[in-house]
Amino acid sequence: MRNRNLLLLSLLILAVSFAAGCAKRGMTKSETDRADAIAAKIAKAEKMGIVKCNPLELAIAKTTLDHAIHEGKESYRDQVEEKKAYFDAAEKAADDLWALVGPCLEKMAPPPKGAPDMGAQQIAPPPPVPMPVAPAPVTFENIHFDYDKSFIRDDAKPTLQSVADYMKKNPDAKLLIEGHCDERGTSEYNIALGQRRADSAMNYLTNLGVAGDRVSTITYGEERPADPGHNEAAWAKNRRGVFVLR
Amino acid sequence: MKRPWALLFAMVLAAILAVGCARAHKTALNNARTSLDQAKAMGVEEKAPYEYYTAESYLRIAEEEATTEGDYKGAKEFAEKSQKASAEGMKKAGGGAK
Repeated sequence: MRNRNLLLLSLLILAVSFAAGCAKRGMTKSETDRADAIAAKIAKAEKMGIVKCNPLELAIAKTTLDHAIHEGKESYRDQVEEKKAYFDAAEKAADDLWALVGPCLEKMAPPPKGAPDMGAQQIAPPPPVPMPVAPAPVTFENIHFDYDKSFIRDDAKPTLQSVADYMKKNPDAKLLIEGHCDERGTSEYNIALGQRRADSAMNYLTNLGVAGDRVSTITYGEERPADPGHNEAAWAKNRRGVFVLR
Repeated sequence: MKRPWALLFAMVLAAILAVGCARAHKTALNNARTSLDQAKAMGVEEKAPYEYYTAESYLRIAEEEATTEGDYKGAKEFAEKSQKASAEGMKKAGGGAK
């Protein structure tokens, strides 16, 4: 009987401890307000059609906020700094997204009457680039990518055309495409992004008639920057595809 | 002499629960990875990029929760969200295929 009472008392203490522990978890009012403000900013950008121009940034903003809310709810209330870091990341992602709304709206706006058809200009084939005559070391210019993007920009197309022309004229040549990123984002994410960039360049070349088995790809993520700086100019140089003849 | 059995029972129960949780999040992560690979193969990245990137981002968060945070419940939750986004992307991409 005495043992049973002791057991009951232990269970009661355990239950109270659990309840007290659980009560301390969750978001404070200021965190909830902050999450609501970030969600409102994302929703506004979404309403303005950002998904058509920047689906990646929208996905990152929404999932980052979701992650922050999860951490906010799962962490103890006194883990203020840890939770703040997650909400800071979510706010930055939402701000980055919001910064893209203006350019997106401009892109989607119909061209003024009488203006030249930019679409036709964009899909016109790039001008042919003269090929070097001498067989001495052949190098190609690097191509560059937009932040967090892997699509081939218009300014990269002439270089890719020249690479394709060279590959067609030299059937024994093999090519390695390196994908690189700037330092922002996690290493893992940049490894994947670098691969997408290399794949994107490879796909473009195969569409130009280069056999896929002559081209291989590798990603270096953010590990081999062309410019060690920590500013936009350096980052723009580092988001690149490099062509190496083998 | 009955107490060692109770202790042993509690330990076995805890071990079963721990293994069960670990398996659940690993299965969810594997399912999410498979779905994302499948989506990529179907060209969802081009046809339904928002869904594709959502799936990719959730999977990254799930992996981070499992490895860095050790939050298996969170890992499972985000992996399931990733799988759902991949499925939505594939549905969208498949529906739009010509």
